[in-house]
Amino acid sequence: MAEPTMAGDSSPDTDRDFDPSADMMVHDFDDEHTLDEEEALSGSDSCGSELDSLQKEGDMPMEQLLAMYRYGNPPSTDLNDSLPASETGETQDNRSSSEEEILSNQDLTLDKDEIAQTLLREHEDADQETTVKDLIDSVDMSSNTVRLLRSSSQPGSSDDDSEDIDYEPAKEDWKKTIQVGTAYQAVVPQGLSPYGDAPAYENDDRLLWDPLVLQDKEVEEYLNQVQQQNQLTAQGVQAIPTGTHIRDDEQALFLLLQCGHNSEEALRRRKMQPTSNTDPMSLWSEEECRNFESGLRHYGKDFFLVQQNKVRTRSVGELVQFYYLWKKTDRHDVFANKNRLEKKKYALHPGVTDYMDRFLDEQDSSAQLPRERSSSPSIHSLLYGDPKRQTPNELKPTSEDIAAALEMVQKVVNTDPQFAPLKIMERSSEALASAPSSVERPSLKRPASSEESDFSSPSKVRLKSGDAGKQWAQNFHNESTEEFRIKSL
Amino acid sequence: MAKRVAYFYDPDVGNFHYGPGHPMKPQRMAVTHNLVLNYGLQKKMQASDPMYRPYRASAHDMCRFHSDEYIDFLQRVTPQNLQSFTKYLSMFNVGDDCPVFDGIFDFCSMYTGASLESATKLNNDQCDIAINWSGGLHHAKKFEASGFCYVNDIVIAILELLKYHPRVLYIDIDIHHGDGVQEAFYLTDRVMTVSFHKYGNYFFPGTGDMFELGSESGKHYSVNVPLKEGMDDAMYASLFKSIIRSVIDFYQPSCIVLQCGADSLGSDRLGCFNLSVKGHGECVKFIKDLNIPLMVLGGGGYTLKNVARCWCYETSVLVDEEISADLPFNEYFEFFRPDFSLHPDINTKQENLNTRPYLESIKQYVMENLRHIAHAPSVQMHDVPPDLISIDYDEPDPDSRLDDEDRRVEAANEYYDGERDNDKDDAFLDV
Repeated sequence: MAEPTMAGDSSPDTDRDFDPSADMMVHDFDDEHTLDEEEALSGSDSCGSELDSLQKEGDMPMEQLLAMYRYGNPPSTDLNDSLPASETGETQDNRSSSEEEILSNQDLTLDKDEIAQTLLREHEDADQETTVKDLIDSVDMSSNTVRLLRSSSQPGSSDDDSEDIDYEPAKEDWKKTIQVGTAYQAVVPQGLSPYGDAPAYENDDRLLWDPLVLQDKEVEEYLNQVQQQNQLTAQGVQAIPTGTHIRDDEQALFLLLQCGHNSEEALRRRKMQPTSNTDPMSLWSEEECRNFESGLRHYGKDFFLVQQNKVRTRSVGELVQFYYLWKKTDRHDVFANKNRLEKKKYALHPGVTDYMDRFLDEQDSSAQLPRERSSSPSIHSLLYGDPKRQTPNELKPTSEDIAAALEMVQKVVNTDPQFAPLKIMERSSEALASAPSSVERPSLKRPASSEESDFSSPSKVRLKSGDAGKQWAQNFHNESTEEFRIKSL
Repeated sequence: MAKRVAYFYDPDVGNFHYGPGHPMKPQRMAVTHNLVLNYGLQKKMQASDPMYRPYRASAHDMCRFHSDEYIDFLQRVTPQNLQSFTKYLSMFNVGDDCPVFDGIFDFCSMYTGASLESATKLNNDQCDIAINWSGGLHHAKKFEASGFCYVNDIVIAILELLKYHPRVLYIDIDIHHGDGVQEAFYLTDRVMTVSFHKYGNYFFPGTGDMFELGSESGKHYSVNVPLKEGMDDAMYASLFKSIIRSVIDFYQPSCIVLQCGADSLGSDRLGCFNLSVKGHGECVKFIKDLNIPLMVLGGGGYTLKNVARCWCYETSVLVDEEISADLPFNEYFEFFRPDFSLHPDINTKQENLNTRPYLESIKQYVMENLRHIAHAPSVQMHDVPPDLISIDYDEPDPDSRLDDEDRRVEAANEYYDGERDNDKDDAFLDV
């Protein structure tokens, strides 16, 4: 698939004769293996020769390289054949044709309605494998023609920085040239042009606090009083002592500055508007935490969706900040452990993994994002078979897990003073335990209509992200539960 | 001589998220900043952060480089209304690498504003070194997003610097080629771009071989140093120093912009070099010691904890403070498990594919081309009104900064730890 022509060949029509061997289906988790096979089948000569030539290039002495690229004719014809990017013009041609291709492929990846239609139709007269394969191939093709910075990473691999994966090159014509023209260069002003008397942007930044006006003592006094005031008015979890090692109350200081450093005035004003407690560092209520976690379970790390559907009391920015602090707490460990247990079960019978099931799951979790993508990265997970891609979305805790987690949390919170601010966890675990919804498993047969709803739902989500999203989430929940049942049979 | 260092950080810039599974994590800026604060480095700087919020760039500022349509698109698009922009997504290359996320324009506005303000502070000679770790998004093109970058704050900042500086040198130590900046200034001799990057084998962005020299009057003013996997500290430092030394000799820049992408560190999620934090910082130190006005920007870097370590260490290098290798307690302490050290071993087993002869031949080729620069180009002084700046003077701001900011910089022999220097507080650190 190195050249656009190759990529064009892999349209669903021509690819139907490519049948994945049983071997490939069984060893689905060995992504590189699968890729190799695919490569071998679809583009053995051109890919191979290009790789060969690249290899040759690497081993070539400098002079020869120079000669090959710009400084003279290529030394041998076969090198010339396999290096289409050596001429600027050709590269541009390639680029534009691959762009066209992306555009044409967008029909496939962007219009989920159409995908659903096509799939359903195909599903009726073709067998499942073909359908899935076609889709994979077409999406694979489109995604490979787009140059991606992160194509060198596993798309969608987990957050954990230590889990790096081998770099898998995209099969594409990767060389690019610098473009020249008014559409590309910056307009560099002629000569110098000093600011004169009025320096640009001088007052556009905002002074939030000036530490030099008041003595440290006075500021401390003021902050103490603010703290006390907060304690008096705070309710519920916010009443938990926050300790003074956390940063200064920036809002309080800013208010003090606004009041001309008159602390009495600032305190008085603060009393008048006690609602200033929404700064990012203010403690999260138990409900917010719980909603956040359930949102994370449902939507993955799409904090926009989590905010829209679960934690409306916080901004997306606050969610992001909270996430990073939260992920290193025991509370996160509990969350992750539950998911890990489920994951194990999920992977218990890798040999009988149903491609369609997995595909549906992946499709769901990607379709949930109300965004258009020029290619569908979620499909990569099929190609790469990355176990980490089995995101928390698909996993539901059992009551035992929750009970175990509960114990752990309580123990930690009670014994470790470092997590005093997270005392709220106690409450959360109680609430979790009493929430039956996460334990119940609705039993579902697998009707043909389940695919239909799954494939058409993405468009619904996009049209109305609110209710449809929830409804869809429910579908998804059922879907994954069912997946689970199949595995455990 | 101690340098006047200005440090720009918008407290909100870390609170964005590119989406599930995306390696670019703006939160790394918050972690970096947290480390800087907890090491007490802000006391050596002018703006006693976090009390200064840098300027936020307007769409007008961004259009100094980018096309109006593109910026207009960035301003309007949100995750909700995405479907109505379908036809623009591919046009502006927004989607996969560069997703639309909540607050996308605000994010661009913050990091670009900070870079722009860095430029004005340097222009006004209010500082010798300006640091903006949130900037450095070097892939963005005039008409499109690319490689996690939407607005090219570097180009915009350099355009601002060009008002005062006849020659600006741009140096890029990100593992990816600085294609956006190079392309923007490909035809001019007023900006020289020098990029050290991994090249070949499908590595993003696919430009940056050493034969890209610039063209027209910009010919020989684009310098590219293509490298292979596994560069180590010693090799990188020797190559970097010798090339930069000749670049400085030939070009004689009046200002330097250094992009410190941290994906050239070992163990990066997307990178494949093998630099240590110290090795990376060595380049920064070398540039700082040239005693030329300097803007330091962030860039790539996809292993969050190492990015924070690296940029915190480089901040300490720039303010000339030795800091302990043991990390101080901070909000993100748990991220630095298990060593809690500033300089962990991040060496990978990656074989260094760069041979001495290979590097030698590249160096030779680069030097050869530098010799074509007969003399540093000079620029006439023009009296052009600064028409492109959007200054809104409402009324004199009562909260405007002190004239004498330097008073805030702590003397080197000051042992008092500021307002919170209180033995009691240690108790909290222990818990």
